[in-house]
Amino acid sequence: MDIAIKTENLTYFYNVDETGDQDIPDVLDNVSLEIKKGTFVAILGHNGSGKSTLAKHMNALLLPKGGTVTAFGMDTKDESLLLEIRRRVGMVFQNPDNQIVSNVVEEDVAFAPENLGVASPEIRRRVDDALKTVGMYEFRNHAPHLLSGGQKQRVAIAGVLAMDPECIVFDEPTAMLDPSGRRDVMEIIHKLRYERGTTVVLITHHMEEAALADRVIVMSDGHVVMDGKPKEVFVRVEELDELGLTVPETTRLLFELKNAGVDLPLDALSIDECAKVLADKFG
Amino acid sequence: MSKTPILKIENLTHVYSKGTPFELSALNGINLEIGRGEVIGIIGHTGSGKSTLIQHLNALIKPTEGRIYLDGKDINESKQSVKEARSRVGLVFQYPEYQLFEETVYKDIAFGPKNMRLTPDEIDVRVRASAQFVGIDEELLERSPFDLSGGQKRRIAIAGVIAMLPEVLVLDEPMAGLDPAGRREIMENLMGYHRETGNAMLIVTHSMEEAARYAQRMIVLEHGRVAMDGTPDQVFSREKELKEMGLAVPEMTELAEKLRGCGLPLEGTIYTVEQMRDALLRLGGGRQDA
Repeated sequence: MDIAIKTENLTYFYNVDETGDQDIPDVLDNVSLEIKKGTFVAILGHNGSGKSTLAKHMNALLLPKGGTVTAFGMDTKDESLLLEIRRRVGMVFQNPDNQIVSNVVEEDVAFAPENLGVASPEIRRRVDDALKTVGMYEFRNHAPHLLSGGQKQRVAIAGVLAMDPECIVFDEPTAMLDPSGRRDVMEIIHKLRYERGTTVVLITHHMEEAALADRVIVMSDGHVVMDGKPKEVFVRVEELDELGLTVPETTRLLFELKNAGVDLPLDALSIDECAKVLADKFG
Repeated sequence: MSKTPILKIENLTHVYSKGTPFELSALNGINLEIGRGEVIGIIGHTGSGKSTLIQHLNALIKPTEGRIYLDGKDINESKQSVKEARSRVGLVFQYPEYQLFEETVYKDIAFGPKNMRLTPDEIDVRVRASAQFVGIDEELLERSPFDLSGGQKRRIAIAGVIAMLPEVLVLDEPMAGLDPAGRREIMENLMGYHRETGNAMLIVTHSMEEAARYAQRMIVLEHGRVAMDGTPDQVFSREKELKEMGLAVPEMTELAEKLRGCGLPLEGTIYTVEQMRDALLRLGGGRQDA
């Protein structure tokens, strides 16, 4: 089995409002997806497209109203598997302030493994390891509320890492961070994916972040509308614009030049690749 | 129109927890003048003093040293002047949607004007006009703000401040957490408000690209000091310094630097896709006739 998360005809809607209006559209409508182990998948979509709802199904925070979701082969509807699913699929949310529970950084990171009944020496090892991975080891005795937003988010990630999960779902983890905090989080994601082989699902509004993924899934109105490698997805500039999304500036530039009659490939995504094709063309 | 700047910040210094072991100096001798009707982007990384600075502008916090003049008058002079500053300088905090509290959208937007003791008729005019500025339909006015989407809540919170018709509107990261279309809409709504009223607008943001798109002037803060103050062109021409400050230089500025390194003679300061496209097309070399 090389599938981490699988959804089959996943359908979900939030409760009908008081007015009794039965016509509210499904937030997720028959979504079928497979996320391979060890890959880094970015999910894009405008606000209300269903991407966060999809993410919350991956570790049974929400249960399907139709269809099934399995995490590492475990059906999320099976209550007896809930703890095991939550341990193997961790989640990091947007607001670091809502994810921190203790007054000392290392106690916060130890919170989940303590609750899972992990032996003390093992907890020590995991906490140290997690804090080193996110570059917060020297802050282990600090008070979390005195840290910056970016540092707090790194502590929150360490708290998830201490559970030793095989998959981590990040729901807009950089939305409240400044550029350097954002860079730090993206570096951690890269490390998890390439050094630990962790499966990473990243929900984001930042196209430059999605461009770093192995695969990009675009959601709109509860459906998957695009699914492919970043280079395959971002060349569809006009469609993404119509969906209220955008493309990385490098792609936008190549697209504009193409419209002005310059023949260039649209898939030079990184600044270095883009510089190279432009230098070849205009140099 | 009067020549006095709407806001004048004179030698502003702020020290948190002065005299304790936690003493932290957040602002060090800031001098700035904000002209009537200016649109200014304020940039700086976390801890540079941006938030401390803007909270001084309507007397939410008081200077350790220095003064702030609104229309020539020291805002911290008396209770009355503080009160005046609170309605003439409108502050929209980060994630303002968490501060909504009334039963209906209408009441929430009306809260500020009501505190200004306007008549019900005046309040009504202001509520409807501000809702329109931020793109909130009339029919939503009687709904509970808590039933609405995050983006709509953000707009309502902004409308609540706009309803006081502040001569200076200060927004801390108004676009944070929104999708690209949402970011564009909010900025265009705000620019519409600015054009219609001619009021000054200060936007604190991490996104230099966005600041440059809307602002005529950019102020870069570092370590509680004004490190740069000028047009977007002037600021982005100092790419190296911006990078040293740990700021995210626009992608196109970085690309321009790389291309110049490859020997491409690109002209001018480049920080938008359009500028880059035009600079490349002027080089001409790559043009292929279809």
